[in-house]
Amino acid sequence: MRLVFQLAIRNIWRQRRRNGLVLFAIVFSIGGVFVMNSLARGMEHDFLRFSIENLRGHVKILDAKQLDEPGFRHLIPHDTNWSVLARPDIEAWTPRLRSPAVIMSERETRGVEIVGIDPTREKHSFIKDLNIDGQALTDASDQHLLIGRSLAEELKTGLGRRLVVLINGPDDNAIETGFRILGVFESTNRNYEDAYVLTGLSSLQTLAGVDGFTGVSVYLHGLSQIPEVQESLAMELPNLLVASWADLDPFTGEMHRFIGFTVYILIVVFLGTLVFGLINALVTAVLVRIKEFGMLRVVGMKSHLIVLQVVIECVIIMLLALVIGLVTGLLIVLWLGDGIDLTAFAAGVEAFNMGTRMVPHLVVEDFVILGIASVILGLIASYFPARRIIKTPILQSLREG
Amino acid sequence: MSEFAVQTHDVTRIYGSEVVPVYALRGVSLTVDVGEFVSIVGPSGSGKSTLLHVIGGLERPTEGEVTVSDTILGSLSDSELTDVRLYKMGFVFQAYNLIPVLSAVENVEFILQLQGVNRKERRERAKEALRAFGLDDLFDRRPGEMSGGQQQRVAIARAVVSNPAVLLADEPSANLDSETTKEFCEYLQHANEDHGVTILTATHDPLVMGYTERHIRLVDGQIAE
Repeated sequence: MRLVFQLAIRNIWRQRRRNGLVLFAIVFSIGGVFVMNSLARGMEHDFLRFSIENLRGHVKILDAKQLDEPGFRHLIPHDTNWSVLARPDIEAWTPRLRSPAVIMSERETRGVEIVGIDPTREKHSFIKDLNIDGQALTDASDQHLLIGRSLAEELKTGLGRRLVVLINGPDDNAIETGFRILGVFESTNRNYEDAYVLTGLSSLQTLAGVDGFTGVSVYLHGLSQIPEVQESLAMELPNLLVASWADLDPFTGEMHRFIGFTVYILIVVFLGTLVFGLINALVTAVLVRIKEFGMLRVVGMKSHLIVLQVVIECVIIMLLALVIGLVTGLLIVLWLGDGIDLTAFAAGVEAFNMGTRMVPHLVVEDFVILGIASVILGLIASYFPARRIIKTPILQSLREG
Repeated sequence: MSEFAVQTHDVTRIYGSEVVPVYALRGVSLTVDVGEFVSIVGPSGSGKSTLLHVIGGLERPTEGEVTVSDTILGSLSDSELTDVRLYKMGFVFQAYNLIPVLSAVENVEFILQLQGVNRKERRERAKEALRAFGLDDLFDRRPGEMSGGQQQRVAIARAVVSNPAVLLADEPSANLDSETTKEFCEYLQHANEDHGVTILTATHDPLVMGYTERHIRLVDGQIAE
């Protein structure tokens, strides 16, 4: 083994220019796959984050009729047994009251969704990251209003001004009231600025004359816990709908799955393409030395040792390229750490529930799969030249080269 | 143990198709005794190299039987033939055929390494073999850093270091000038007389023939009486 390893190392160095080019091609491919995967994972992460942070949570509890008829008519009773949410796999849960509403300034009118929140419990939704000009809501009883920058501009209003909000009560009676703008928020997704106006939860309950919630968002420690928690809560709360984020947002759910799959397709396509070039380069490299291999066989080196030598040469190049490729990819990803600015395409990317910065995201599993795939690729690629050597009759090998 | 190192019995080697057969060897029977230094001579195309290849297990005869040091080659698998070459034969080629990435001492050690000899012993034996062929100062030189004559001496050292039953040399002087050939033949003679190695060399070089004890003349694949 030591002998074969020694020969392999020295032969790699001997053909350093050729092997250097092969190495460069593999580094380029692996580095490229790594960066592309990180960006795809970034997109996937964005999709997931925006969907979960968009007032859904990992799991959401609601009255099933809310899906068809959002508003105050189909609420979760406030005296529901919430102790079922006291589980170690649930990180937090937040009740909210939401309803379609019409909002009017002195000049403009817009359709929005008014959301009653308990600001002290909003630690996991997009609300925690809002950049607020003015003041934030203090508690659930806060009677002021937060509106988005984009909406404020459309309504031609601003901080401290009054707005009129018109909602449908639980009995379809129109309820109209005035709110003073406590703060104007900016979000990483402008859709939020257009779509939501925020006020205190109990304040909105009082206004609508209800005491329940339209939904309870449940936040978990990880995605893998969703099925178990969802099933368990569905059994504990048989009169309510317990839906995952993907159930409520199937488009994003599918996109999330699709990108996860795309990452593996990218690995297969890039490395699959590489394998042909690699086999070609290795077969050529081996043909140059076919006489030498013939001589090794003449003096008593067995076929399996010859195959082993070729395989070791190939795997060494592959492993070296893998390390350099991953480090290069990692450096590029770190360099892109702040993300790629997509502001120019803001309307498009926000429509896809993505932020205006594409930030690469590293997933350890991808490192491992890329590493294993590369080594397997090296083994496959080395098989063909090795087979060529041992299939060539010894005397023919000696005459060639 | 028999007294012959190599014996062929009615060996025939046919190339080409059944329709147009080309006879490289026709019923060659010969015996080389242990410790002999024999040359196989004859014009180009007479079958010298083919005979050497058949004896060396590098190709199989179409008919007939080859025995090397009590081992009948015809019944062996490719893997077993490789073992016979490793343990019972040494080879010297016209083109030296050293491993370019190994130094002189490593080239000689290579055979012992394949045989599983421990590091210390094989290093000592390799150096001793190189010294025996006047290569004391060239242990660490790679083939590309040595002359043709020096490379051929390393090749002999590699061929004899494992004390093979027979050393096969195919046109060993083809790339050497007469002075170097003479020197090379003296080393072959030294291997034969001092180390007791049986040597069978295919050559058409009269200088080489002059050093051998017996000539086997081949003409058109047959031994000429």
